[in-house]
Amino acid sequence: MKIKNFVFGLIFNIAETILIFMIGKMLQLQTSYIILIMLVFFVSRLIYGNPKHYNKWYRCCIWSSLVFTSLFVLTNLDLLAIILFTTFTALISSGKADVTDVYMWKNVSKYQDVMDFIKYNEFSDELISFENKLKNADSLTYMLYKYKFKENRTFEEISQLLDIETNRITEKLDKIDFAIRIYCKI
Amino acid sequence: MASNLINIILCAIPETLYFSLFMIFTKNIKAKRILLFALMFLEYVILMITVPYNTWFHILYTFMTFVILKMLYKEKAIITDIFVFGLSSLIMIIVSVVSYMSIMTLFNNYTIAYIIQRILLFVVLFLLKNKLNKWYIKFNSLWNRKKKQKIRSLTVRNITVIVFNLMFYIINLCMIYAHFVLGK
Repeated sequence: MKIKNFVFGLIFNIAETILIFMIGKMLQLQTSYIILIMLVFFVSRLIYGNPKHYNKWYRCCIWSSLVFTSLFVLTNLDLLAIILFTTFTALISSGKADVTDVYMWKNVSKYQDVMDFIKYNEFSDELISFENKLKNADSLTYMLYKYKFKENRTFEEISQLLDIETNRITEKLDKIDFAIRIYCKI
Repeated sequence: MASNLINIILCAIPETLYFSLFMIFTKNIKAKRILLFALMFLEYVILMITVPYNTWFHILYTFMTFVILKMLYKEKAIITDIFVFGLSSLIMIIVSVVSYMSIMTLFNNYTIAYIIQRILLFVVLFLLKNKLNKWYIKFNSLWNRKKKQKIRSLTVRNITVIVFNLMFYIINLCMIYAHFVLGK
C-alpha cells in the first residue's frame, strides 16, 4: 500500500512538473527561466519546511498551475525580482507563513476574560484548587496554563520554551480554557 | 532642488498619507500612528532618491513597509499585512487608471488628472474606512488551517499570492506605459 501510494505520488509529481513546464512553454518563456522558477520554488519550500498540501490531486494540480502561471507572468521583470517573488510565494504556501496568534490584531485575546479572572482572583480557593489539580494531573498542561494565562506569553515564546508546535498549543489551551470556565464558573 | 521639493510635496506626502491611513484603518492601529506615517514618509523619500521610479520602487516600498510595521508593532505585524499593502496599491492603480483615462479624455491635462486622482484616492479610502478592519479580521481568520472552514486556507493563500503577483505585473505594465507616454 505504501509502495503503491509512493508510486502514484511520484507519477503525479512528474506529471505536474511536465504540465507546469508546458504552461511555461505556452507562454513562450525561455527554458532557463522556467527551470529557475521551479527550482527556486521547490528548494525554498524545502528550506522553509512544513509545506502545505491539498488532499485531492486535482486541486493540487489546478492551484499549482495557477500559482506558477502568475510567477511565469512576472518574467518581464528582472531576474532578482523573479527570485524574490518565487521565494515569497513558496513562503506563503508553507507553515512558516501561519499567523500564530490570530487574535493579536484585536489587542484582546480570546482568553482575555479568563486571564482577567486569574489576575483579579489570584488567591481564590477555587482557582488555587484548580491550579493544584492541573499541576498534579499534567505538568506540561500546567506550564502551558502558567505561560499563557498568567504570564501572557506569545504562542511563539511558548512553542520555543516547551518545544511544541503552535497548533497543538492552541488545542491544549482551548481545553484548559474550557476546564477553568467550568471549574471556576467564569 | 526645487523639483525634488515639489516631488516630495505633491507625490510623497499624499501617497504616504494614503498608505499609512490605509494600514491604520485596516489594522485598527491606535498607537504610534504619527511615527508610522513619519517612517513611511522617510522610506518613500529615501527610495525616491536611491531607486528610479519603476516596479522595483513599488516592490521595495511594499516589503520595507512590512519591515517598518514589524519594527513598530512587533508581533502585531503579521505576514498578511504585506497583502494589505498590496490591496492599497491595487486600489491606487485602479483609481489612477480610471481618473487619468477619464480626465485625459475630457480635459487632456495631466495636472488636473493628478489632482483628481489624489482626491479620489482619499474619497475611496474614507468610503471603505469602516469595512477594511472587518475584511482584515475575516481574511486573517481564513489564513490558518481550521476545521469546518468553507474555503480552505491554502486556497485563500493561493488566491492572495496569485493576485499579488499579477498586481506587480500590472504595475510593471503601467510603468512602461507611463514612461512611453511621458517620453512622447
